[in-house]
Amino acid sequence: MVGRTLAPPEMPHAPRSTLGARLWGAVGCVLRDAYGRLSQRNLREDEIGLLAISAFVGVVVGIGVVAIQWIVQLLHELTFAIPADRRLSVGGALDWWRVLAVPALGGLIVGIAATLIRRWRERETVDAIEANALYGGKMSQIDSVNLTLLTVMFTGFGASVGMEAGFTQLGAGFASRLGQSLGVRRGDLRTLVGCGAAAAIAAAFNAPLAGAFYAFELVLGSYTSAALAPVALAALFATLVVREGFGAESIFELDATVRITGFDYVLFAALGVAAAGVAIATMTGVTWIEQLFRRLRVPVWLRPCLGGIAVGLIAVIFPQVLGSGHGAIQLTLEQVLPPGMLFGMVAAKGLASAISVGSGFRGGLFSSSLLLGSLFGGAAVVLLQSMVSALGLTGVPLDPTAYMLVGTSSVAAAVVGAPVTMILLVLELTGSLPAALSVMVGAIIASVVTRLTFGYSFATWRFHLRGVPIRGAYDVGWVRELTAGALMRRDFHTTVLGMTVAEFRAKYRLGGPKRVFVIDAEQRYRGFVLSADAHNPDLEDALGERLIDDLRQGVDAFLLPHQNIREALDSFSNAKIETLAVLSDQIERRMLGFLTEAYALRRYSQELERARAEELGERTLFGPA
Amino acid sequence: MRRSAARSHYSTQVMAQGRRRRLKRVLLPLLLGIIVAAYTYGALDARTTAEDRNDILPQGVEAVLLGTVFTVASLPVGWSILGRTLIPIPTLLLYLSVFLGKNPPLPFLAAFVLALVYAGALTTLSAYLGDRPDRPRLGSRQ
Repeated sequence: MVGRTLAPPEMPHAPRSTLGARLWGAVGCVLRDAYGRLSQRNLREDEIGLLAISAFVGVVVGIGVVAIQWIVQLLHELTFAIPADRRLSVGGALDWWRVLAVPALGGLIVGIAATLIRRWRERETVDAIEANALYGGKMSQIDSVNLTLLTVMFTGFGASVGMEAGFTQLGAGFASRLGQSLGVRRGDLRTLVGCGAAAAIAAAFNAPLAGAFYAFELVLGSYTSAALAPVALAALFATLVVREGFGAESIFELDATVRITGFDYVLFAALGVAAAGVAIATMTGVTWIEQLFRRLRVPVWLRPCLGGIAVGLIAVIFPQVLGSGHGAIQLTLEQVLPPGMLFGMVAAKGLASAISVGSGFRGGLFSSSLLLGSLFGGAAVVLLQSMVSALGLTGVPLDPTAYMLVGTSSVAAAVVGAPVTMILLVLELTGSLPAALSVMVGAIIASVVTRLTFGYSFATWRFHLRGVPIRGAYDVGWVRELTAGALMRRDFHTTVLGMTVAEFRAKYRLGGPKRVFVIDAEQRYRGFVLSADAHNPDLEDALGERLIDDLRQGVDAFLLPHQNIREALDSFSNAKIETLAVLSDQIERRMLGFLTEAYALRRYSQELERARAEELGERTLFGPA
Repeated sequence: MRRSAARSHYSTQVMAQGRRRRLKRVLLPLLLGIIVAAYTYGALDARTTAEDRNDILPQGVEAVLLGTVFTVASLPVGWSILGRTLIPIPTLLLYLSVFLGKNPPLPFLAAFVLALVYAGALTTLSAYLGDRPDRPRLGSRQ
């Protein structure tokens, strides 16, 4: 960073006589000094520096995820009176009145809190995908902390939502803020946001590969060799922190070996198709609940409370729906639940998740979809076993664990929109390659079916509903920044309506300006005249009588300053002319400048090339000639 | 001659659109009916005491019947009110047995109130789906 000067490190305000205060002061000085040196280095050219920042992000986010999990567990212990070593979604004998009261009261408290925060911060919180797609990786740290706190509170009060949205928001928000303060370039800032998200997922699931590919599939939008090292390093450091530093375990552990025959793969494919249906139903269910609340005109602050009442009513029968569901996933994989319970829990978890998110509880569907998928896989294997036995297709009994894993990854891949992440998650959590292969069939088919029939993951579905024009984390923000106002030329010539061609020729000689814009007496834009048209030899007969009004082009075709380059190119195409005026607005029609199609096309291709090179971590797409 | 007179004056595309619209209006109640059946099946399975499992019909049949009645009650047709009249009492009884039969059982008053809430919720939801003013009824000319 050029021109940045280091302020002398401030000494701590604590009394200096104590050893603790002196130590604190020394640590503060070292940290400030390190930050100062780091910020003075030119990180725009320094890959090693970026790797160091990524590792730091991994460590901080790992600690943050452990802290959040600890707080949520503490809240569960306080509000639901569960033992310290048990997870809420394991179920068991919970007090029925707590199950009813806590989500409702929690919904009321957090609903009011969320409404107040909304008054303070009116705009929608930008998440990691949206930030990378539209804002070049820029996220608000305050919004991220707000959203994380709300997610912690909602989950702490038993809402049936996952905490992963909060984790990734916190991680990506922190990484973005750090990157912005260090002045890294746009492409590196996007990578850092991916690092934050990767670290969060890796720490949450104790699975670095899944975390890294979560970032590639969802937050960065593509895998590139340039992003591999920082993202993988962040995920690795986050996992090491939670594993070695805090002794954290995976959300579920599975030692069982799966038995899979060739016929099973056919059934996995069918399960993948059905899992896509479950995923689509859950995603649209959220929207349906939201529409219901809107139609019934329920105040926004009251919606989470009503949602909490509904979740409580479900949880009195199926307490496993409370919380993010990590404990319930372990329960379904460890124990053979009766078929009735499996069918009931699929419906209950799907409903509870849709109601929770639809009523305004902040959170995502990552871990909810994992539990929903494992329950669905368990229920499906019961049906498939009876069908296969009845038809006499195979004498080997189907392995419930394999089908649960396939169901888990298939539903989650369709909801989250990250099939490779789910395959790697299963591989890392089970350590079983056959299990990962079986999961691959289901997850890929579920993703393809969802994409072909529905077209969205849950994240992109929410963008679609909010009217945000993105289909993923691919960087399209530069298109919004390249506006007609930014691209236009301001050195235009004007003339007034009613001028004769002879007068025009006298004023604008051939070889002068190529085009002259026509305005009326009120200075409003009225089209433009090409000099070549005015100097056309065919017009020689009546130069004195003929008006330039007849030679005008583009009277009704113009651009507005806020229109982006894609809209501008569409306008050129529709108007079939090569120059468009840029006007102040449609009513006043004041001339601000003009844009030519050739220049717009050249800038568009330059920006496309630059964006692609930045994605690949290169300066340019082409080598030296 | 007679055959051509009976042919609709709408284009095949318009008729296909109408079919899709009607199908969508049937699909939501059907999907919710399946969810109600699965949910009820699981809830009935959550009962642990033998006397509470002493039902008139097998659990699965009871759950499927309730789901079917809910689907019928939620259809946007005039006669869906027949389904709606059948929902409250069986739902109340089934879920009362669920709340009293689960481990640990709920106090009777709480179980009764919660069963009433379930019966009321299913009836109200089916009424909402069947009578949504923004949606035309099946078979109507709209």
